[in-house]
Amino acid sequence: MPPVALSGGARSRPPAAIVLAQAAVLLLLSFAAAAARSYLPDSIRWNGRWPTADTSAEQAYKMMAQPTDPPFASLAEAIALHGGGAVFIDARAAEEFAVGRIPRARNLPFYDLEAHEKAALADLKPDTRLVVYCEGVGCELSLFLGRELQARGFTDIRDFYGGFPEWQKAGLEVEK
Amino acid sequence: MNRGAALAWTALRLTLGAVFLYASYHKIVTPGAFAQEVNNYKLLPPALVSPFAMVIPWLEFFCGLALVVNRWQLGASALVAAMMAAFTAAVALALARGLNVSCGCFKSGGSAATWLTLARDLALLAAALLHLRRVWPRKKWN
Repeated sequence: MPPVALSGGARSRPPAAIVLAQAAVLLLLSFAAAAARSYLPDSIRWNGRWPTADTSAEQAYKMMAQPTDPPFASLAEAIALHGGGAVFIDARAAEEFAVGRIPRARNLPFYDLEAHEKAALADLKPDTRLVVYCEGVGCELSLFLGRELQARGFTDIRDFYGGFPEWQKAGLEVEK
Repeated sequence: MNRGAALAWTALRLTLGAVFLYASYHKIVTPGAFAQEVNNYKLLPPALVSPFAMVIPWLEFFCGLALVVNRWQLGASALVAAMMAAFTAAVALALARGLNVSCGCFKSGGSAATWLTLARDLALLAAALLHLRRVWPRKKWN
């Protein structure tokens, strides 16, 4: 029987062995490239930690945010900002916003910016005090939205990173 | 095999390779954003999130490259199929658990993981399996 021509040059090994050998080399290459990439300044660490259910909002914000992102606002600060007339912007989807929200918050779903942008932002000035929030630890939409708002020229933004869950848990008024 | 079928197989291989090369790019450039997205799926133990987010984009890159340049088809398409199976399962679990997560498929913050994502992942998984079946040697080896 003529030898079976296989990609990779092997001629007599079972295909499963070739799959394993090639996959192992591709994996090794990937680890090597990742190791090399890890020396660049913007890399993450091999033992880097990311927020879990028991990470506090402030810790989670520090793990997730970039230095240029809007600064963190704690629950106490969010309450004070709310009382002081800051405009709260809810980055979650319209369905979640409909279920419950911080009173007088405006909905600007990050994944549907264009449809909601005009209604949410048209009457605001660039220096209007804004507070973005979403679904708390594990939700990155408020960070993404904060970046979008910065790009649109808004200069006074805070990120209430504990978000709607923290507000609700504190027994504060919720609008439906 | 006729010319049309050969062309179709080549198109399938190149498309799959190009999708993986494209998918790897933003994740390699912004590993932190990708790690956040991986973490949001709440599937991996915390200690594995960073290594996963650092290595998988490169695996996508090398497998995509292998598919495009038509080398190591068995290993590359088996890995691509395995990755697509894992990604599809992750999206399905996120949807089933009602997590509102960013897909983490291509660009950071690009789009949410939705039923459409699941359908696209299933299509890519099917393409990878078809390609694997095509490159699998047909004759017995001894």
